Amino acid sequence: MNPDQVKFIGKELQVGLSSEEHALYFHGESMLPFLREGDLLIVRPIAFDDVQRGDIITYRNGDKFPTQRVFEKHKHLLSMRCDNWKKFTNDVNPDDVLGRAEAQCRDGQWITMSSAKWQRAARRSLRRALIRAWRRALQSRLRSAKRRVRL
Amino acid sequence: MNMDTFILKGSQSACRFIDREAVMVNAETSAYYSLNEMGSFVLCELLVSVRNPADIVSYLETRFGTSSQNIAGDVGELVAHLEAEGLIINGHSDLAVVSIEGADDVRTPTAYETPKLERHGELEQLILSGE
Repeated sequence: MNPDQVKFIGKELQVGLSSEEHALYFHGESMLPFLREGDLLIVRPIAFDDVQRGDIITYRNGDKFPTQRVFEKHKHLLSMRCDNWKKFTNDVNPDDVLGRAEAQCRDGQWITMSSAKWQRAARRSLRRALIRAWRRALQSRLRSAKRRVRL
Repeated sequence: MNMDTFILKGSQSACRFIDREAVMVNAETSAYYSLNEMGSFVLCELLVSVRNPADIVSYLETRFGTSSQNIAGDVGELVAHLEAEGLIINGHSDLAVVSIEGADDVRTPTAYETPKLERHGELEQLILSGE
């Protein structure tokens, strides 16, 4: 095994070992407003069967560790979305799931996934994503109806 | 209770086998390690098969016919190194991690080599992103 591979696997193992003392750093604006640059996360390993819609999942993608919300769960696939991006979705295989974010720290304050704030953010995010999806479907139907009328 | 059995050091260390070689991490020190094929086999026997070092030495001795002194010394050194780095502890086998990813693929190496643990350095704080 070459040193780069060893380091990469070490990083994957680091995800499952996260704790208050060794929390993981969240970077970017893609999960605003719930996660922002500098938030600390604790991610715990999770079985695919236990993953639920609305969970925030860390998965492997090349040499990166995207952390996004589960929008839809299929039998052998997760559809992931960023809370702050309107269209972006990503499909993830069960083998690539590294863990679920279970606690977040901002400005020294920890909240866990069972807290009301966390649950509210998950519900709000899923609701928004659903409304966007319905809106897109409706617009697409309207466009096809208009095309038919013109013909 | 057999005090010669070993377990991963709780939530402090983690291990995975890839292509019959192990990678380990110590969360306290952020250090990461790899083991050569023989070292990975010994580690797998310790943690997954929950065999004590004496049994492993006896098995390797029968398998490779190398002088027992060498094998006993090598295995003892590896176990001491793993303990010193805070990766495993002497513990009750009931607490052992029963499955470690990739352990099913670990086989006895075809030739004897000194089992080794190599420390590669320290991992920086891991950065996650939505993108």
